[in-house]
Amino acid sequence: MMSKFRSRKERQPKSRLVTTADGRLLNRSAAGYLYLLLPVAFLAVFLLYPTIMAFRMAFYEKYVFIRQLGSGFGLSAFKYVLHDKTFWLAAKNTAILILVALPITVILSLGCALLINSIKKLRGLFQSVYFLPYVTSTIAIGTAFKWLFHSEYGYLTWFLNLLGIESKAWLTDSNLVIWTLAVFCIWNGLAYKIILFLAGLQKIDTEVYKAAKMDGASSFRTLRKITLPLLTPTTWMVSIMSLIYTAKTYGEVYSLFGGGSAGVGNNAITMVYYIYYQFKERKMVNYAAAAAILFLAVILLLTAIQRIVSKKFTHYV
Amino acid sequence: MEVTLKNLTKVFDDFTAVDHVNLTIPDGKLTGLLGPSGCGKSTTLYMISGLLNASEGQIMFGDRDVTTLPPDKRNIGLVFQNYALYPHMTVFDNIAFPLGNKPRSERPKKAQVKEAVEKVAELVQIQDLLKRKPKELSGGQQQRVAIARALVKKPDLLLLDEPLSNLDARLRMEMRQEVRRIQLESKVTTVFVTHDQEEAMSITDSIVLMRNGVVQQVAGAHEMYMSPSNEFVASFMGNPPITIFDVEVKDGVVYFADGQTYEFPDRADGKYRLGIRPEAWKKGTKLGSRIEHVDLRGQDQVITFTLGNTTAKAVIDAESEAMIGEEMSFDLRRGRCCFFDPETGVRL
Repeated sequence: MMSKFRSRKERQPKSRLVTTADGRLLNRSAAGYLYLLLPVAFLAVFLLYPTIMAFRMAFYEKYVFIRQLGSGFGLSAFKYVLHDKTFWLAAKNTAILILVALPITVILSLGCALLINSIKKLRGLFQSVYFLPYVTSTIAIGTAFKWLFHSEYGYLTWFLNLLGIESKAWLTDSNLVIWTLAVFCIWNGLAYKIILFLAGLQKIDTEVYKAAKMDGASSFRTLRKITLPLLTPTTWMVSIMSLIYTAKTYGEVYSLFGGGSAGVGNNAITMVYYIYYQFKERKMVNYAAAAAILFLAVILLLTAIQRIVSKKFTHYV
Repeated sequence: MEVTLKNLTKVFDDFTAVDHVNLTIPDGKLTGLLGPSGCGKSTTLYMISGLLNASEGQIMFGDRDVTTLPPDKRNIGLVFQNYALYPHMTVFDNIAFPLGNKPRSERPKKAQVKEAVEKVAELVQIQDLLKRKPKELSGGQQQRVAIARALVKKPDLLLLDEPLSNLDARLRMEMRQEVRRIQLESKVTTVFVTHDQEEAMSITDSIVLMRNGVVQQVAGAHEMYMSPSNEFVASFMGNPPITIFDVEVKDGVVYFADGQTYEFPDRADGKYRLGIRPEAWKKGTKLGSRIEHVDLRGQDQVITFTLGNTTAKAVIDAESEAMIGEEMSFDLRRGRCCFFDPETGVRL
């Protein structure tokens, strides 16, 4: 009994230090830590440090941009931001994008993926066509959309005139800009989601569809009872990623309305654009930081809720 | 329901998988479609199911021509090789799924569905598993669920595609008895695809042996083993397999390649292929050879030796142990030997 116990103990390495054949003492984990060092350093410099600094900045009472000096500790930046009409406009616009544009883009991309998945001929072509927007820069697409939506020379105006409908000032009308932005976001977000959905669809065993066919399921019932439930892990992943992506909408605003204010009277402003606007245009670093922290809190909350909700409806197989 | 295949043919691009098959599958019986892989047995099954379209020919269910009907209009149950259960549904929902697909007017009420599912679950003995998901079941249990799902709509025809190939050896033995029991209890006309001749022989009422898309022989297991129609059938059935010798007959005497002889009085002169089943050999005095290998199986022993230049296997009872390197002499049970035409392979 004793000898057994001892022998087991002896077999266990006392530490992670091992001797090599030529007698050198090595720490077995050293290489592992070395590999980790670079990405950790990268994250520390570009993510951790800025995050901590943002927290610090948000609580400055005063900040002088030219000398890059902040002073004091208090909540006045939060107070300002929460009383700023533009902040609430940005919140409202971001909410519109999340509540309207996000579901539309998820449903549209799912539909496109289902259609592409159901054809045999020209499937590769359609896959490439739908993937193109993803590899095109948002700025380039924004330029194209500017032309498309131009109130005098745009294709949309031309097309509406052809139908005898009066066109509107899509890019300048303060009530319309957010919807123009929404259309842009929907279109711009499609490609990536279609690819994800296609991957999810191709993961479903084709035998299951043969079984459904034998069982006499109509194509609608097959979609509702088999495809969609088996696709829920993908749907969940796509929607949580799009939620975060949509909440962070910035590039689309920048490319459609340029630097400076987001459209006439900042009417197309989004949350991240507001942070950028406070920082870059108004040089109010502490306001930008305060807005960023509020934004972070809301995103965390939304993700948590989505996690809880999705667990109920996701079938992991 | 009797199923008749008339000149059934399937051509993939330039490859003929099933070549003018004419076949009658008797009502209420278990028929085995047997053959080596790539012989067209599964293709035939999938054409009967409607998942594959026939290139040519007709499929008749009774006197109804179903050749062009989609699968759901044929009232067929199909059990897939890998079961193809719906992974996100419970066992109950899997079995109930076909019932919910019926047109609204024919769709059974909830209580009727429950009753039907429970009845078929009892038949395949999975009453206790109804609340589980497929991934929580063993291979044999999944198999039972797949059979239940195929049977719940009371099909006229049950098709099983290599149903036992994904199970381990012990379970396979158990499940093949089960398939037979379920078929006998439900009395449904069943077609069973397999590449395992032992499996086919043990549970089917009749066997259809195919090769390269062509039906070689249709017969009961016993008849197919005892009187094969050609050399291929003879070689495919039986384990250890039959040994085929190139021989010449003169004046009622068979001459083997090494000059040894054995009398077959009624045989006409000429060249033949002579098939000798392992159990046709018995200890005797006529044909001698040196034992190359002995495989003791307990109740008997499989002896490997060379006669002429052909390696043969004989099954001899194990009462006296055979030794490798020993000289041994055999006699033959003439009734278990078959002569084949050396050109066509047809049994003479």
